Amino acid sequence: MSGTFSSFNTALSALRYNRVAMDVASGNVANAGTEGYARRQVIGQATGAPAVPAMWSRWDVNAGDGVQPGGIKRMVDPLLDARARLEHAASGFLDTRVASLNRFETALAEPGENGVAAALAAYQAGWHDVANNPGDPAARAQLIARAETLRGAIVSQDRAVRTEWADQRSRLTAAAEEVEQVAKELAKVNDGLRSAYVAGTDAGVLLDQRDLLTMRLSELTGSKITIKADTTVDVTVQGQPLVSGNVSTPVTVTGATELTDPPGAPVEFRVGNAALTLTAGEVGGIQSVMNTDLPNYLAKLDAFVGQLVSDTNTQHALGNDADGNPGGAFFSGTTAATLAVAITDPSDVAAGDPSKGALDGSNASKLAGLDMGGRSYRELITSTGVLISSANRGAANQAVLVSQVDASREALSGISIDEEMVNLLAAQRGYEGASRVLTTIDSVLDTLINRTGLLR
Amino acid sequence: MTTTPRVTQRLMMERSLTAMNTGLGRLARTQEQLSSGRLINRPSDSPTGTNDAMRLRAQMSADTQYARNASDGLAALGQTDSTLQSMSDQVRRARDLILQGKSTGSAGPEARAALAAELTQIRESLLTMANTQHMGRSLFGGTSDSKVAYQPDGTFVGDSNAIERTIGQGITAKVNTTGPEAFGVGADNLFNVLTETITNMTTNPDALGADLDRLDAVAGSMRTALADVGTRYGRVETAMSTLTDVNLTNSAALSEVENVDIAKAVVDLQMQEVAYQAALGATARVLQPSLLDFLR
Repeated sequence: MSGTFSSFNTALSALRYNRVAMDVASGNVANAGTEGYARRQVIGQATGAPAVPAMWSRWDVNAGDGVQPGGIKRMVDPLLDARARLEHAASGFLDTRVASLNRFETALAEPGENGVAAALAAYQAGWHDVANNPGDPAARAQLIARAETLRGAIVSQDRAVRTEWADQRSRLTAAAEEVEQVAKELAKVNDGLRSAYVAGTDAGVLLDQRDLLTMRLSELTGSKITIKADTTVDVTVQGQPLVSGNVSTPVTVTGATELTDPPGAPVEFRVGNAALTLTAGEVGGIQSVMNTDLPNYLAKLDAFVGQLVSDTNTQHALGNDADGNPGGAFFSGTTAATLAVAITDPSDVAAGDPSKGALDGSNASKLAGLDMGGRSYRELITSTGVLISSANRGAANQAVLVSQVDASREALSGISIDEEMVNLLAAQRGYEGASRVLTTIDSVLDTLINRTGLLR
Repeated sequence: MTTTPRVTQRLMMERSLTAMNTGLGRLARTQEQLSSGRLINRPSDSPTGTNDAMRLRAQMSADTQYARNASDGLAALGQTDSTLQSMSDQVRRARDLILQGKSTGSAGPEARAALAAELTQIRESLLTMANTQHMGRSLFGGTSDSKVAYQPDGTFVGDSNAIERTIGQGITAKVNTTGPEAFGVGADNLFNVLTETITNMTTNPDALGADLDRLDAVAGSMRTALADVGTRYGRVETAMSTLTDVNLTNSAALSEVENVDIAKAVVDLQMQEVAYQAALGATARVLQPSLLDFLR
């Protein structure tokens, strides 16, 4: 049996509820562009009998006990979030790798007129010209100039590889700093979440932050997260704890600081004391470029240079120079970085066969006919092209996957202005309705109190 | 009740952005191809194409050089040919003079002295021709760096090594003729025979018959050398024209692999432009309306 004024309470509860609904809608509209903000929805709950009946007491069955906000729900799906973290980690890995490889690829200048292949062909043609005119110092000087051009082209590739490596090294340090920073922030958020959980207060904003930070950590490192009962998260990278409750582990980068021949210690990402080589995330992408792709390219470039030097020098030593002395080393060095043309005096070019006359060019002819690593260089460029084009394809596919997962998340958590307008209007109408209920009850009571028993 | 998926403004915005970026990316790629004129601007554009292009470029560069070598060889062979040709004419004249000197009836001592003088002139002239230089080296001196092939006394001072030009992968052609090959060896060489003939002309006309036989032998070897040079000239010339043909074919093949088909690229560009404009138009129409426009 309800009291005389209980309907006022019912109307009041509706006013309160609709105020909350309007607040939530306006909050959603305000945060429509906020990164990491998940849509909120107010859950309306009819006020009714308690779930546990009180002893010696009875709940009167009657309609219209009012409404109360049953809670404000963050519209997120933890499974979808986990999937998104996974895909973003893969995308971070591939995108970083592709960006680095593409940058380095443009420095190859192949195929074209300015690459190593063209310089090698010109160098071989230079030997033919010397063979045609062994007595002409100009042909010999031209050969030396072409050998210098070839060296320049090789060295510029070598430099491009090393520059890219050095860039990635500083990027990795920056990424590690960011990981450490984000991990620290997440540890703080965890602290706040635990307090909010214990106090039982709404922690929506903290949860938004938590999801945003864990997403960033996954993008960077491909980390895995565990959501605990108290809404805090633990983050591990390849099983190593990065964030555990309100404690975060310091992160460092160790290993070689420049690309050497042969490559020095692999560059490692350290979480605490554990040295890791990641296979996902931006850090993983950087590591894969630094520890695999660039050193492999350099090793093959060096092998090509080795063949160029040994082919040239071996045959060159069998000939006689213009003064009748046996040919010395034409090139010095064994790697792309150390390669140099050892001959400066055109008359030191050993064009002739020792058994023949002074104007013989048959040794130069033989030199011109050597492969000098041309085939292995072509294979290197082709295999690099295959590597990069497959990386490009992988990244493009992953981008499609990521955009699909992001679209699913957006469909669940994103703010639709139209929808919020409708919610706002509904709440407005609800509020107006509740006001009208108040007026009606007021008038009913007015009749009861002021007019009852009055006779005119 | 079927549920329709929620579509939010942001989702639309991001999709529009992606669509526009994709469209613009395709346009940029076609534009790059059109403005550079090349289908392959970096190895990853087409790894197999890159391989073909590099192989063809190497082949073309080598073939161009082989053609240069061949043309250089042709110059040497041509000069050898014309020199041998005029030398043969002179030798023929010398033979006539010896025949005149041999016929005892018509030739008195004065006449023979005149013949001897002319023969001396011819020998000088032949010696000068045999010492012809080609590109700073003596034409008949082999690989020797001696300025002359024959000394004034008729001694050969060159060597008999072949000079070869590479006119194809592993294919060489000899482009010189050495003195001994053309003019006989040692005491029987052209200049020694002529020296003795000149002496015999004035002192011992009876020996002229034997001298004539020796001169004929030398003339024979000169004819053989001429024929040999002609054959080699033909061979190198054929190789050169083949190289030119192959280079044309290869350059067409390279262009096939590497260059843009302009007509196709322009049509692609048109299509992509239409697609991009459609994306822009759709974006403009889709992003503008909102329920707010219709609420008071």
